[in-house]
Amino acid sequence: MTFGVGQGLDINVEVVRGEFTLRVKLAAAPGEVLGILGPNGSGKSTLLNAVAGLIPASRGQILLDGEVVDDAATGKFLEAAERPVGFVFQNYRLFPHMSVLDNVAFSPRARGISRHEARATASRWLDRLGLTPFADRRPADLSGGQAQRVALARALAGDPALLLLDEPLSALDARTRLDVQTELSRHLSDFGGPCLLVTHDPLEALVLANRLLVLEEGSIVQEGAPAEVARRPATEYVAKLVGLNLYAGEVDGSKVKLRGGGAFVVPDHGQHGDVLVALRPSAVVVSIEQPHTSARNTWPATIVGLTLLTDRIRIDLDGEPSALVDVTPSAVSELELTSGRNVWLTAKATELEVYGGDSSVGTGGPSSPIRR
Amino acid sequence: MVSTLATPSRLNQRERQRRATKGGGSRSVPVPLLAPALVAVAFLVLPLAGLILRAPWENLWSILRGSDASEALRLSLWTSTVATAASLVIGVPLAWVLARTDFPGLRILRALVTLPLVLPPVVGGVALLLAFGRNGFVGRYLDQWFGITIPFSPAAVIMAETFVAMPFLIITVEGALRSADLGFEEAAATLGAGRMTVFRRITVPMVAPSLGAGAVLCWARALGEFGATITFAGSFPGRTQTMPIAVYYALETDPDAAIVLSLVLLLVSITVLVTLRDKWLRGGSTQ
Repeated sequence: MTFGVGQGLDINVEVVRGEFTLRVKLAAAPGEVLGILGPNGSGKSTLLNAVAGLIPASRGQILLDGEVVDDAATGKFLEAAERPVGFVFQNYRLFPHMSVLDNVAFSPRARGISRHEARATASRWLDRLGLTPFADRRPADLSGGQAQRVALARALAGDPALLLLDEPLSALDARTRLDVQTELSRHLSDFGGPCLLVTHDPLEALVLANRLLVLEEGSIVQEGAPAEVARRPATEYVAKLVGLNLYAGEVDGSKVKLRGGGAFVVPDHGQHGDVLVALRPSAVVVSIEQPHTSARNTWPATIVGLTLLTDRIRIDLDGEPSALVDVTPSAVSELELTSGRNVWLTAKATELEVYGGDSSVGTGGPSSPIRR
Repeated sequence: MVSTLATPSRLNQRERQRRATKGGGSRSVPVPLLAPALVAVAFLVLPLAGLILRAPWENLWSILRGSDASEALRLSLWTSTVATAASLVIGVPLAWVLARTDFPGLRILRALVTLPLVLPPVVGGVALLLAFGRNGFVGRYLDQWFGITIPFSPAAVIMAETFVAMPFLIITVEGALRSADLGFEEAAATLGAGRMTVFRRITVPMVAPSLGAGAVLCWARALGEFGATITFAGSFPGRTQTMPIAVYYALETDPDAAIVLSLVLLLVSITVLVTLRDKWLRGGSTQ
C-alpha cells in the first residue's frame, strides 16, 4: 500500500474558544510521527479538530502538502469532509449500527468509490490489521484492542494524506495497551504521511513519536526529540510526566542487553527479542560504597546534575546505563551527593518493567535507546 | 426524656430480600394517596370496561361486515398510513432543520410547527378550509388553474390528519436528533462524508428507534383524528367518513355499531401501546 507523499503539515494558528486560546506553530514532515503531549484542557484535541476541519482557526492558517486548507485572513476553509485526513478518535466513534467491514468501507464509499470496490479495500485493511475474523461483527461486540484496530483501519482505508490520533490507547486497560502500542507503532511507521499523535501518557509518546511537542494551556512549552524532552524537562508537568527511565534492549531469559550500553537482570518470563525496560527513578538506590545486597542490578555511575522537585531531589547520573534517580533531600545531605561524585546504583530485578517482548518495538518504536 | 419504640410491624422474607437488594426502604402507600389513586384508576378503567361489557359479542362480525363500518375502517387505515408517510417525508427533514441549524426566527418556527399539538383540532379544520377550501387563498388557485378541489375528498382527510399528527413525529425526532451524539457525525465528516451522506448513513440509522416511535405515535393520532377531519373533509360514507366520525354518527342511529367500532379502535390503541412499550412505558427512560 502506498501513500501520497507531499510536503507535510504546516500549522500556524490561533483557535479561540471562549476563554481558552490555542496558539500553535508547528510543522510535521511526511512520515514523521509528531507526539503532542499535554495535560487535560491543554488544547490537544482542539488542535486535532482544527487540523481535521471540525473547528476553524480564529487567526492564521493551516497548510497540508502545500495547499491552504484553512486561512482565517482570507476566509478560505476546506470542510472536514474534503480534507484528506484520517482521524482516530479517543473513544474510536465506530458507527454502532454498521458491521466492522462497513465501518472500514465507509470512507472509501463516502469518497466516491463503488460499494464493491470500497468493501474490497476495507477487506484488505482488515486483513492487514488481522481483523478479518471480525468483519461481520458490530463494534459493540469487539474488545477494546480490536475496536482500536478497527478505528485505525477505518481512518487509513480512506487513503489519507495525514493521520490524526487522539489518545488512541487511553480507552484500553493497561495490559492491552502495551500490546496494542507495539502494534500501533509498526503501523505508524508504515504510514507515509505526517501523523499527529495526541496523548497524555508519556510512555505512549516516547514509544510512538519521533518528535515530541508539549502543550500546556494552549501554548507549546517544549519541543524536541523524545529523549531530549525526557532528559531535560522544561516544566514541572513534563518532569512529572516523564519521571521514568526507559531503556530499549534485547532480552534473553533473565538478561536484558541494553542498546545504549549496560545490562539488566530482570524477572525471567522466558522472553526473547526486543523489549523496553522501564524503571522508576524512585526505585533506584544510591550508595557511596559498592553495596553487597541481594539486588542483582548494581552499577557505578557519576552524578552530572541535581534538580529539586517538589518533594524530592532528582539526580541525573551518567553510567551504563545512565539514569534519573529520585532521593530525599536528607539523603542528599547525608551522603553528600554533589555533581561529579562517583556512586553506586542498585535496582531490584522486580522493579524493572519489561514489556513489548514479541517483535516490533525496535522497528517502529525507538530505534535508539531513549536514555543514553 | 424517655424514648419508646413504636410497635414493630411484620416484614416477610420476600419484602426483606427486596429491600436488601433494591434498597429504598418502605414502599407502603399512605391512605391519603391511596384513595384518590384508586378513584383515578376507576375513572380511567371503568368506561373501557363498560365498552367491553356492553359489546354485542354475538353479532360482532355481522355488524363489522355490514353497513359503513368496514368502509370506515378501511378508509381510516389507509388515510392515516398515507398521512404518516407524508409526515415522514416532510416532517423528518423539518425536524432535522429545527435540531441542527440556526437562523433568526428558528424558535418562532418551532413554536408554529408544534402549535397543532395544543390547537383544538376543529380550529385546524377551519384553518385548512380557509386555506385550501374552494374559496381559500390557496384552494382558489388550485381550483382555477388545475381544477383541483380538495375539501370533502379523501385527500382532505389525509391533509387534516397530517396537520394534526405530524407535530408528534416532528417533536419526537427533533428530541432524538438533539440528544444524538454528534461525535459520530464528526467522525463521518472526517471520513469524507458530505452532509447528505451523514444524514442518510449516520443520523437516520442512529435515531431509528425514535423515528419508529414517532411514526407510530403519528399514525395513532391520525387514526383518532376527528375535529379537523369532519370540519375540512366532512362525513361522506366511504369517501371521508373515518372511524371516529362513523362512531359518532352510529351512536345516534345504531349504538351497537358504535360500540363495535369503538372496540376496534381500542384494539388498535392497545396494539400501539404494546409496540411503544419500550420507548414510553419504561418509567421515563429514553433509548
